[in-house]
Amino acid sequence: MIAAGDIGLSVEKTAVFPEERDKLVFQQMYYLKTLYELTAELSPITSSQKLLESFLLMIMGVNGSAQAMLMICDRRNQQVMSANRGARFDMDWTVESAEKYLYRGFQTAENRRLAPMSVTFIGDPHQVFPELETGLDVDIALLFMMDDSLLGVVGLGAAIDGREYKLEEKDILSGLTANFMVFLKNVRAYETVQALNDDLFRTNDALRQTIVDLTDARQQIRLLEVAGIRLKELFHQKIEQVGRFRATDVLLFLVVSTLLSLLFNFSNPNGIALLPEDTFREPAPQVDARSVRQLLDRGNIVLVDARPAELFNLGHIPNAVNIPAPLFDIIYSMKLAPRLQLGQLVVVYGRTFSKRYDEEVAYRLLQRHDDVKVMTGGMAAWEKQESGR
Amino acid sequence: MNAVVWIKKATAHPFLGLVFRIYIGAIFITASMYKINYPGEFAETIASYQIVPFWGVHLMALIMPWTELICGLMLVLGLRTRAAAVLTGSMLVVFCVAIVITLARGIPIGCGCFTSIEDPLTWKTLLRDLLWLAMTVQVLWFPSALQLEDWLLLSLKEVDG
Repeated sequence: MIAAGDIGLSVEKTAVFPEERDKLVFQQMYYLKTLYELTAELSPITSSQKLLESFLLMIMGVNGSAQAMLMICDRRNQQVMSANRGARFDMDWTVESAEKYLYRGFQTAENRRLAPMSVTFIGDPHQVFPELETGLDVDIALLFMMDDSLLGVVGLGAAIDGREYKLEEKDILSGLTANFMVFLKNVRAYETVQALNDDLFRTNDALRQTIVDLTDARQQIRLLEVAGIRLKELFHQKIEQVGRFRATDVLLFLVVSTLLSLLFNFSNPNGIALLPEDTFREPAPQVDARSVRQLLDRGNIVLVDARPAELFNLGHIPNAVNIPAPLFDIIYSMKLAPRLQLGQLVVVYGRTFSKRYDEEVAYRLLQRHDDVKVMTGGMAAWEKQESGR
Repeated sequence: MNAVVWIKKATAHPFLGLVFRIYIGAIFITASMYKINYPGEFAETIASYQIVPFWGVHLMALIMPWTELICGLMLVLGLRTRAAAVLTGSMLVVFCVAIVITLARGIPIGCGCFTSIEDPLTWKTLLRDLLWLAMTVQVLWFPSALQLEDWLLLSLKEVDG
């Protein structure tokens, strides 16, 4: 705010001339009213740029100017803010151009060493701000400095009615500018706080997200740790088991052996059926040992021992012909065929616990003769029957 | 006293285990080869013992040679040695029992251990199988050297830290 003395009239003068006193009072009232309006206008504004625009309109209205410009150069942040009204073109302000005009302004300024939050008028505004460069014909201009890095210029074009600006109007402009600096300082502080707040919110959000991520990560780490411990225990357990005997290994060997044997047997040209062929074959007609003895006594039958030679040699029914299945064709043609008469009964025996030799040979004989029978009970039944006689 | 200790030490020596392991393994691998290729002939041999029921003869003729081969390979390599030794020993026990029964019955059949045509079973055959059984028991009971499983275990222990 500025004092009453700043508007250029002394108290002593008002005491001598009552008209002057009235005029002074009126001017002071006008000045206070203007200050009040300025305060009311600028107080709610929270944006620097809007503040510039509003202030420019305000001073144009107060001074009755058709053109005005306002430029502020922020040296620290290397930024320029500007506003203008009534100019023929919008000047494209840069830090360099702003510095150039500030330098020119200070060359002709009334006070070349400005203190912070103070203003000074430029001596020759027409020369400092040529119309060709700025787009407006500046009649009065003043420099203001908020601090070492924040300087600005306010310029007014000619009054609408073409009059010369009075000293009082210059004083009001100076006072309003000083107040504007206070508002601008506040707004910039507000903007800084706002920016800091925004930054803080963003940081908070990032922090919150980081905390969430960290919590998740900690949970995952805990799970991984538990899994790691479990795996290590399992691993350790397996290591302990490596050298030991396990029944499952034996079972595994047997399963693998079975699978491999079945697979190989399937493709082996010498492969065999899983069960003996005679398991599913219709059995040959049977005759018991007692009947065989009777038939033998009548001399009407041929006995065939189907067992291997080594078993035959251990003991056999008298007059039986030994024809093991693997040698059937040769022995049949050599020994049996010459002996057989048409319609003669052939009795085959030689079943053991592990193999039905008799069924195998009987099956082959039945392909050549009609009357072929198998003696039930094999050699054991015969011996029993013979011992019971 | 010293001789007893020496015998105990020698019996438990890992290199003796290694020799027995490879010997028994090689015998079983060799024995399995012919049987695997000619299961029909092996089935005849099994049937001649008259111990296995007729419906199980073919299955035994198919599976047993492969079991012999796998056990033999495992013994030679030194993988799951104890399980292989248990299975090998069990087979040898079955063979011994079968030989005793057959000799007691007086059935003059070949052993069928390696091929289908062999000299008839004698008590020497039983003695041979018992010797093999003793070797297998040594492999089962005592550790043997140069086992593939030991080498793998060493790597696993390094990983375990």
